[in-house]
Amino acid sequence: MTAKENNDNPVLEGAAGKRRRYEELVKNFYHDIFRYAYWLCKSRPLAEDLTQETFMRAWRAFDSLQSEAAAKAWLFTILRRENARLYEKFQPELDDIDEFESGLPDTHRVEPDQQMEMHLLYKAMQKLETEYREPLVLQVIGGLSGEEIASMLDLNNNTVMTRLFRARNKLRALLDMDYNPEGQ
Amino acid sequence: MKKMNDKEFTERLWSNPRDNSAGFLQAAEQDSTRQQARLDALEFEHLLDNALRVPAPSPALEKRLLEIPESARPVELPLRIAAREETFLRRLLPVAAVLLVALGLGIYLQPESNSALAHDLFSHVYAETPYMNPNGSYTLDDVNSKMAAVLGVHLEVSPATEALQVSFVKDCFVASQIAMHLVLHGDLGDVNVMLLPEQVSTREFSISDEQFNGIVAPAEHGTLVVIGNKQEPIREYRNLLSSNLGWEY
Repeated sequence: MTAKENNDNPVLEGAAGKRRRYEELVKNFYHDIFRYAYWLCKSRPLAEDLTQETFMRAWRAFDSLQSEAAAKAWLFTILRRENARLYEKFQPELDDIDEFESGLPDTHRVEPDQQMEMHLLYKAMQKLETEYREPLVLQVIGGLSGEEIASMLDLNNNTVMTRLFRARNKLRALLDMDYNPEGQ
Repeated sequence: MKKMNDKEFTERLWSNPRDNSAGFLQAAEQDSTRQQARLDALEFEHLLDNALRVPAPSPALEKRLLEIPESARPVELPLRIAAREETFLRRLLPVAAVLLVALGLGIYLQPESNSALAHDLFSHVYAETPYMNPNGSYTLDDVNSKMAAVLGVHLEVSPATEALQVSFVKDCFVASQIAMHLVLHGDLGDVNVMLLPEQVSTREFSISDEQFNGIVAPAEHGTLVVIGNKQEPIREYRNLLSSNLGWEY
């Protein structure tokens, strides 16, 4: 069958179009999805499996994706559900500082002082209560908006923004930075 | 435009240092203190972003992800091969015919009570759906307190059960029994879960109609029913629920 014939056939064109859209979704978002999965699992093999499971479900339910603009939040929602379903029960208590450090791609270009700050910040993140850590990770890793996070966590937007504000304040306090609680 | 005061500016700055909206940027440029505060916040954000870096995925991951549609597609026999194997397939026809008869008999001999029960269960789902609040939200505690009061059953507290999004929970009269009816947010729509206090079958069986698939599974002291849209992975919900159900008697 020629390309023209293929284009003339709406069924084949629909299938090919769906496949193309899916491939774009993978290329655009799999790094962010893996990164968030890793943050949840603390293990590369588990994070890769979780990423694969997320895209498998995304493909199966691809027709329910209403718009490309909503794709990222949609994938993160699937990922969170899959993590809860598959791994949360079995999550090992890892304190992967060694792996964390070796996984930093720019470690050799980071000044020792800054490396230490990053290390402390990572540890401080682990100490944050879930209600603060969760929206912060979704915002920083996922680049999701307040509205998207609110919808995902079933909260209102103001609550999310307040938690993000408090999360950063807590991290700064934990880091003992030169911080004035009044903000001015 | 309403002028942003310092408190509001600080809150917006530290809730999203990368806020690029015109109103916020205008407020940030208002004086040198705010400009410096914004630089500090962006520096902190850069540090935070680096602290959340993780090892890179293996190069094979992208390939695995791109192959998903291929692996999910049903296998089709190429026409050329199909023609060559026609003779072989013809020889299999009598075997296939026997299998079809056996399958037909199996369906025919399925207990009539199963189809009556399936009819009751689907009718209940269709009858209740218009009265459900799709925005309803119940915590695991809410669900457990209702289920314990009606059936003496609860779901074990675990991250997986706590992650279930329950939009409806109510005692209902289903299949001539007082049962619990839960609705969960599934991937493809609502997943209806019913817990019946009596074991209607000693074996698990599947039910379906033109819209839904369902599973009726015996539980410790009753019956678990899971019904969802055709493509919904209802077996996974059945596994999760049956392994987390606790019966108090």
